[in-house]
Amino acid sequence: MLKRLYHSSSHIGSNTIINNNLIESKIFNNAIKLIPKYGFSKNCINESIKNLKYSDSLQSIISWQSDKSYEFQLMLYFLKQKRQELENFTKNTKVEGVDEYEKLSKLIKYRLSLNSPIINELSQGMSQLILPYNLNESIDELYNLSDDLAFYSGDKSHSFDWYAKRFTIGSIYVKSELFMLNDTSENFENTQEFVDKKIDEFKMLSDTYNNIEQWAIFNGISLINLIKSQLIRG
Amino acid sequence: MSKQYFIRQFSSSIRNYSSAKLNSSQIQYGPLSKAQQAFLDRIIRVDQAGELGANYIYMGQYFVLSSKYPHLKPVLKHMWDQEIHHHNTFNRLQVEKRVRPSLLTPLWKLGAIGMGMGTALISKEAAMACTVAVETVIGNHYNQQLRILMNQYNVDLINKETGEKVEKDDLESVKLNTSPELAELKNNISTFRDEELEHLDTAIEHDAEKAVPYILLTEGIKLICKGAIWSAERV
Ligand SMILES: [Fe+2]
Ligand SMILES: [Fe+2]
Repeated sequence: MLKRLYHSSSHIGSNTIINNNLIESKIFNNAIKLIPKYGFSKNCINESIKNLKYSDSLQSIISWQSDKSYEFQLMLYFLKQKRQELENFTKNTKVEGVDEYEKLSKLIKYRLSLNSPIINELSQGMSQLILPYNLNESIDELYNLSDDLAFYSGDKSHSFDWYAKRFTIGSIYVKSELFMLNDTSENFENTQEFVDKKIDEFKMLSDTYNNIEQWAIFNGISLINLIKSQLIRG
Repeated sequence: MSKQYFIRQFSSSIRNYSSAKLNSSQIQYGPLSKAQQAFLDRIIRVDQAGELGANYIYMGQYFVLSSKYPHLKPVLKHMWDQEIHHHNTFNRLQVEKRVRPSLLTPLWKLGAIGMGMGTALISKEAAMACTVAVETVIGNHYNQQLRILMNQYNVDLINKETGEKVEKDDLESVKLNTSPELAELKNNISTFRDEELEHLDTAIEHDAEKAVPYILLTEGIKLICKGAIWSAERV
């Protein structure tokens, strides 16, 4: 659990999310562009290899990487790539806000906006994440995202609230993403409103230390059930 | 082989000829290995928890003893202030280096304040014996960490301009061998270790050894501290 490591400031390259020089990164990066056409599928990866004029045998590179299905690997790579884009965003833009919560809300909205090119295929990708044998890696990646969101928004907690915060941010993110799947408003305005509302609740509750703990525990239980019911409906 | 040998000789003689030693702005430190990162992660988590414990132990002692024994007030306050500084330093590092704090932090707070107040309520000598035990364990622990940081943190240095590996002799100063990040950490740990050992001396000067039963008290507390360190590194 929680396998995130010490972040170094002097030792460049200790904490890279994605190494774009690797051949499999090139295949995945190109495949993500093809998702609107082929979906989160094995075929999408094959088409990407063809498209790059690589030899068909390179498919095996992907299966050497892990014993997971191509579909799941593509989804996981997509999540890491977007997390990398979020990191680049925070390096190039100063995220303004009166407090941590306002910054957090902006960061979540930015991350969600990266879903829009593939919004019609997203539920297909997400259903890969909640398969029981994929759940561990999915939760690790969700935790990485919440930790990034907490850090970029300026979190400075040292105690149990550190855990409660990451947990709550993760669940707000997932709920907002599920909301986005069915949102037909222009520029996903309704989703943005939804994020603001959830962050307001979070801010109100975290004024009391005990409440945030209880709230996080309650949310944890209902979250997995919520994801399942939403994906079946959607 | 001979050809390569000549190339190497040649390039190193050019290097010596130009004799421009590299300064800090010209070099870059290579990445840390996963194992090196994992150890730093643990160091910061356990030291943060340890200094939190020390901070709360002195808080408990101060609360009980400062009004009863006015002459101890400045002594305790001085040590407590140093612990607050140690604790704040690791809090800052935990946030900056994005280290997960110990999940048991609420428990450390309770335990430490209980240990501080509890021993102080027995007697002022028992409180000092508690300090002896805690500082002995922490001092040793810091020494172990320093040994590993000295010996197992060699990374490649890269010339920013050429992208080539830099040899140690080409550096302006041997100090550049260690990144500012690790130098700062080692510096903090060794300063703190020295201060912990001062606390140990202070406690002995204030009759820690007269506490009854001294051995039982100190050995018991040492065991508790070692158990706490073991858990805080992991959980
Ligand atoms: Fe200390
Ligand atoms: Fe101390």
